[in-house]
Amino acid sequence: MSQRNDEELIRDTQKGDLTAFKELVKQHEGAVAGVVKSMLRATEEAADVGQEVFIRFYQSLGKFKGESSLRTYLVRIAINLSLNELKKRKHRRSFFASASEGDQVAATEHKMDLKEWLEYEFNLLEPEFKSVATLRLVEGYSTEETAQLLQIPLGTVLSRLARAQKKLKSRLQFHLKN
Amino acid sequence: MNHEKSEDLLLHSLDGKVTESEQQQLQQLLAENALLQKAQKDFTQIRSLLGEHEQATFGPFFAERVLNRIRTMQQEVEYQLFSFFKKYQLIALGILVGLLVLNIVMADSLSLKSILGFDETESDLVQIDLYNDIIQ
Repeated sequence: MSQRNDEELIRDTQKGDLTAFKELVKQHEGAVAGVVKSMLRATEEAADVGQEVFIRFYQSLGKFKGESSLRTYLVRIAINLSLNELKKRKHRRSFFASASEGDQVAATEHKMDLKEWLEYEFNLLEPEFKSVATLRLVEGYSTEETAQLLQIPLGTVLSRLARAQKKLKSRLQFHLKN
Repeated sequence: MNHEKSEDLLLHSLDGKVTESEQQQLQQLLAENALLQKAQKDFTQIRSLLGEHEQATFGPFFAERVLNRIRTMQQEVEYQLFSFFKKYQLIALGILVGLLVLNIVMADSLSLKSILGFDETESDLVQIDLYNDIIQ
């Protein structure tokens, strides 16, 4: 049986065929997971946000006009929901003990390599830098695509990218020496 | 050009956003500045490590979990609608029976139309008059 494309899968889902939607989820899980996990790390909330992305899309199927590709549309939902989740985390942290302090202890107890240190420092980036770096440096979108996805000017993308990389370089200075 | 600006130029060049003359300027700075060469090496390493990852997933049966949530949501909506109608169906039935009884009590005749509260047309009334004449 030939594989159905996004357009056909959406049309079949709108007719009530949930297997079409399942196929659609399978096809785009990777793109959504890449963004969500980079923004939130591999946490329980990441999987919940991932599910929420597809449920939001299912609920607004009629609104999808195909002006952008489905992948772009889903990634945009994913990045917005991840940013919301980061905001919620920030609020929770203001009520409870800082999670990053706990992470710091764990990080020093375990001898980490450069990649692990990079992941650790990347996670500490402010959301506006993390979102730009996730799309451009982790997921490999072009700077123009990143600007479109985040709906910010290209110049802002470039300056945030530069600041994010400078922050990472400065925080990893000790580990980058070798 | 100070180091900060040289680094910015370097980073913009990594994203392909520099003009040809800026590129030439950067090459010259790199040739002369060991600190910038180290920065180039560091940024390249950071970018390469960030881009180095396997295809991400949300774990096994993710699509099934999404579908289950959708089905549960649909069932909840159906249940809420059903509960809403069940709650008011007795009241609605009572009102309907009451209206029927009222119509029967107030009707001049026992025709189905008058019981249901429809206006009787002139032809119906003519037919009733004819019927009365025949009986008399």
